[in-house]
Amino acid sequence: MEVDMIQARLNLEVVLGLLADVANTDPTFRERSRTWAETVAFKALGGPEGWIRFSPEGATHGTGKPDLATIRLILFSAIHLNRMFRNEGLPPIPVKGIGRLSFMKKEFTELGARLQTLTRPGVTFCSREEEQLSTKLMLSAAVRAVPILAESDSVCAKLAAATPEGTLEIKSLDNGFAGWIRKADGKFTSGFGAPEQVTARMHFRDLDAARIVLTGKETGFAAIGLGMMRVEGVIPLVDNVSLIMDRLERYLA
Amino acid sequence: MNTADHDKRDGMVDGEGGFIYPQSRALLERACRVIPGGIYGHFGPPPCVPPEAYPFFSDWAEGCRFRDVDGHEFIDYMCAYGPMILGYKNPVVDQAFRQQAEKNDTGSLAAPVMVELAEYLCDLIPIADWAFFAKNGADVTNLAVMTARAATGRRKIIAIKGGYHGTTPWMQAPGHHGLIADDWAHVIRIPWNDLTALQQALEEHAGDVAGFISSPYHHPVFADNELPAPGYWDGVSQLLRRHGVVFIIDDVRAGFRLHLGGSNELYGFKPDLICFSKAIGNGYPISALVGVESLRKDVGRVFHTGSFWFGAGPMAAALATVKELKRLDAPAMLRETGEKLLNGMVGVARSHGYNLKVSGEPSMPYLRITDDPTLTLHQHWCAECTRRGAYFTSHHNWFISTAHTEKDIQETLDICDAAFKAIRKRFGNGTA
Repeated sequence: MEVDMIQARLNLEVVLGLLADVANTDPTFRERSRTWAETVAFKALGGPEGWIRFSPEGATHGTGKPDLATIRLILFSAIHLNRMFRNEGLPPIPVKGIGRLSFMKKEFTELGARLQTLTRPGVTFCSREEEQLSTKLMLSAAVRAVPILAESDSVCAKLAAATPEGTLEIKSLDNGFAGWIRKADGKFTSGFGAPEQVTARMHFRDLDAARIVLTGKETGFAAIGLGMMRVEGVIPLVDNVSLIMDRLERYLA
Repeated sequence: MNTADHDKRDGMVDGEGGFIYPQSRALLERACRVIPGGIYGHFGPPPCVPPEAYPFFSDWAEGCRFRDVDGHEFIDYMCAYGPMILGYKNPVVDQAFRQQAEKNDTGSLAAPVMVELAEYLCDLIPIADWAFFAKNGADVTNLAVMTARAATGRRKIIAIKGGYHGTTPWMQAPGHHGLIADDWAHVIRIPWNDLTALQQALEEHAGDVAGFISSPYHHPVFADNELPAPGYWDGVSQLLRRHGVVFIIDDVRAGFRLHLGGSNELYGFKPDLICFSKAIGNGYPISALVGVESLRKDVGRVFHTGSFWFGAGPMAAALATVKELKRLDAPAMLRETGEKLLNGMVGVARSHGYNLKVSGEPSMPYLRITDDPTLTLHQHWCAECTRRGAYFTSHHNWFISTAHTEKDIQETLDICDAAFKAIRKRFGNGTA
């Protein structure tokens, strides 16, 4: 049960975020998604709610109930929601926007397939840009997932409790990615861009180095020694956040 | 040797005279192809911040110095993370090892030196009525916990938050790879120096606590070390006796550096079991568990062994080490050397406008520049010292040996001075 609920939250908060990222940055969807005007809301009965919005200004996402959903989908449970995100099992129940479901069947499904392609382990990419986007998505997923895991996964909660307070900056030094994870007053938050204050740093030499570490081709130990990755500051913050990130693969393989 | 002499060494230096390590890097690349992570465990690169300031491979050591594979020489303040206490290649210890190894080492029967070493430790250590030998610290912390469970028939072990007792699953913090929840299900972690928390844990799990394990003073990594508060160990002893809990001191790191009878003697208390390793053999692989008479039967019933645990050479080396430590009155010597070094360093720091905080015991101090709470400034200062020939890590307590001389201390202070200048130049008046 715990696993299903955590997975449902990750689907609504991390995967929807990644779908928005793909819509905003992937060359095959960047222009196309700006022509869409849909807000899709997902609700798992007894579980979390989330939404994703596509508009000419770009794609955004959030938790809870959105203003003005054009399509509203109900799932019987967290398990049902998770299966939908895996393209398995029964379809969701549309309670609003029945006439717009072709968007879900075509555009949304294509976007999901694109995300799967970009994040599939061992995939061969057509271009360097595509590979770099894939790496950015992996980093984004990790940054978004940490607060959820720290709060809901029992092992991560123990790690979170033992984590010193402060802000960890995660950055690719070729300016390919910048994000942060903060623990303050016992709570984890995360975001993108440069943080105001930094307590610890996890810097990758470039996105290629980040990819080597994220795909497990090299361990963090080796990556640090070989100059692909650099950590400094309050290292227990880096260590514990890394261990929390590592738990993501248990939920979103 | 003063800092100006560094350029005369064989090793390569950068434009500012700091060491660079092309051979170490090349070896690490080779290592990464055949060893996961290249270098594992506490010798791995992560605590070396920034890693380019540190060597990874060494091929020579003598006294308090080692040389890396690029030819740079370092005054060593990590002392192999504790095992080196009399200096590398100590002639007395090495001779004892060689003499024994010429007779026999690992064989098919125990060697007489095992009995001799046990007898010597039982004479030297006030609480010791028996001794048991193994290889690493974790071998004997495990044995101590098993003994406590055998003696009490109970499950729970109380340990201190941030306390380190090896890498066996029950000793590791939850969330590390390869662990399952069952591994930490019976380990209760309480804060250091907190008698109320100990009492609460004992009452909450009344009748189910087998043992309490702690280092004699708190020496976590990445944090100031803490000495026992007045009355702390008395209070712990009373509570444990009242609840029938076995009292285990993990003296693996501090053992023989603070007091030859066990570090507990320095602080005036008597545990039931003491775990030793690291310094006991001056680098030869051996650990020991010693204990009180009332646990003889229980430890004797625990099945615990290893292929190399009867190696006679390390036992002869350990016997020679502890005798030599006694002859030198090593704990007093290490304290004096440590105090000289630390007083000097604090003064040098102050002369550059930095506050260097020293914690723990002078013979194995932890230091931290307090001007930057993120530790980054401290990490860069340790790195600058290392690049100039004083091997300092920033996350772990250091170790002093009897081989560190006045001359080494003076050279170290010169290096510290140059390193403070370097971080002032780099970071100005701000933090890192």
